[in-house]
Amino acid sequence: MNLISVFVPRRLGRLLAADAMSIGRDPMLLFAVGLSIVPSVALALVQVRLDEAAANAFGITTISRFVVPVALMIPAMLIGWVTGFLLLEDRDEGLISALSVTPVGKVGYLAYRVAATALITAAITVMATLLLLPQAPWFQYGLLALLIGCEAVLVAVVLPAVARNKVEGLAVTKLANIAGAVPFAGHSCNAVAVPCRDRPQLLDR
Amino acid sequence: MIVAEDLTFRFPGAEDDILRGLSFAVAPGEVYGLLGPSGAGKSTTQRILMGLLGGYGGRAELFGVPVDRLGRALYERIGVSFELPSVYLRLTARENLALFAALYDRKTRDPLEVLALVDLADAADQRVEQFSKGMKMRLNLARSLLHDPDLLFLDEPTTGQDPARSRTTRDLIRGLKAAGKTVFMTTHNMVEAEEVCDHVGFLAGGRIPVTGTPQELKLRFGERRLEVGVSNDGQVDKLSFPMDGIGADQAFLGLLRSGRVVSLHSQDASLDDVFIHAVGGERR
Repeated sequence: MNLISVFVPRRLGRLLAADAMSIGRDPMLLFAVGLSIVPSVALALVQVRLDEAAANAFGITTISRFVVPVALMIPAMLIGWVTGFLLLEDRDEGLISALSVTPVGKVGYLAYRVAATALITAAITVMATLLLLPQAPWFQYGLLALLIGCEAVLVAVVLPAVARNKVEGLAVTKLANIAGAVPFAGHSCNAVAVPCRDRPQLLDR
Repeated sequence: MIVAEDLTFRFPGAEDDILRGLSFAVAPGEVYGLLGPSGAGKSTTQRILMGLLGGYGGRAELFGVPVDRLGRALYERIGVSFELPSVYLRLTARENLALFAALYDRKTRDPLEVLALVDLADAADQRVEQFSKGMKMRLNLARSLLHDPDLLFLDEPTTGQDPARSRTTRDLIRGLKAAGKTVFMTTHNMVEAEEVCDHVGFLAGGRIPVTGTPQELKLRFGERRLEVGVSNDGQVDKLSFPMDGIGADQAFLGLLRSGRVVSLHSQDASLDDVFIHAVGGERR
């Protein structure tokens, strides 16, 4: 049995169904997957009003353009994190050993996890791009799906690489979230130091 | 079915070999028990034979083919039950087995049928996170039987199980033997080994210094004496007689005629005694 055999429809369907059941029965994982599509849908719904409000409040006429990349990247973070957490769980529960003595093996199983993560994230990205950047050329859809899919895989494999178990995985996630807030802190300090009226206006070009 | 000849292995960074010329053979349809203290190398031996550990010296063959040449097709033919539970906790027992069944190319058995073999049919639709350790171990065992393998590797198959469930598991292993399957098991439980194994090998110091059938070993390491319990004013005195020539031993015959004999036990060794002899000798 080779690596590709893990993608035989019967096998792939069962693996996906098992993961769907496993995620569906864990509120935290279900919330993370659900949340991955919320930003793009919400942004698409409030895009016009958000731009109007930002233009009135800060003089920034198309703030949604700055938010779109964030909305597009969130699925990569969340889907990648869910996969990383599932991999940690597989390791904690001894499933990697159990899978290593099946014809699919450890490598085949990892290939499934990586491919499923990339494809699910890519599908969400295409949907989000349709909602947020409907005028984008087709190759941009493809490139975004590819890049964001790869980003999700990166997040998925980094988590089990740096954390030894689920507890450490949660701690690492918290740390990463805190680290992610650092640029906002820098921005806030800058905002306090430079009054709003003295800052250059960001205008739509 | 299994041949290990002059196996050696050293873990990276370790000073000594954990296996130092280990040799044994297991015939088709046989139940072989590899016994020994923790850390003796039982699991390492199993991992080499299952193709999970490379870098060993000597010869390791399954089905007449060197293990390292069998490839992943090997796993269609062997079933493995690990010492610790390895199951998807949020799935039910049936869902766990259905998932693993999908990973095999060969026809697999109905999950419910396999669960019934380990007395888990009633819990088939219960999530595994609600299972006790013993139930998870039985699910491990059920999974190893799912694809009807020719050869089973069972690592401490009765861990975490109460005596009644352990008996069920031992009956199952005997049933596998009756069905012509070969079983290679490791255990600390000497009673279990004595009940189900055709041959046992005691692993100590990276070798198997003592091997044979449980019956042979019990006789070899026991004494050819008979212990007689004799009632004496409400107490039971123990007297010992050599087996050789016991039919002509007047003292023994006199006791039998007296009607005061309450028990008779031959002084053959238990597998615990053999274990202590095999392992203790190595420790000295």
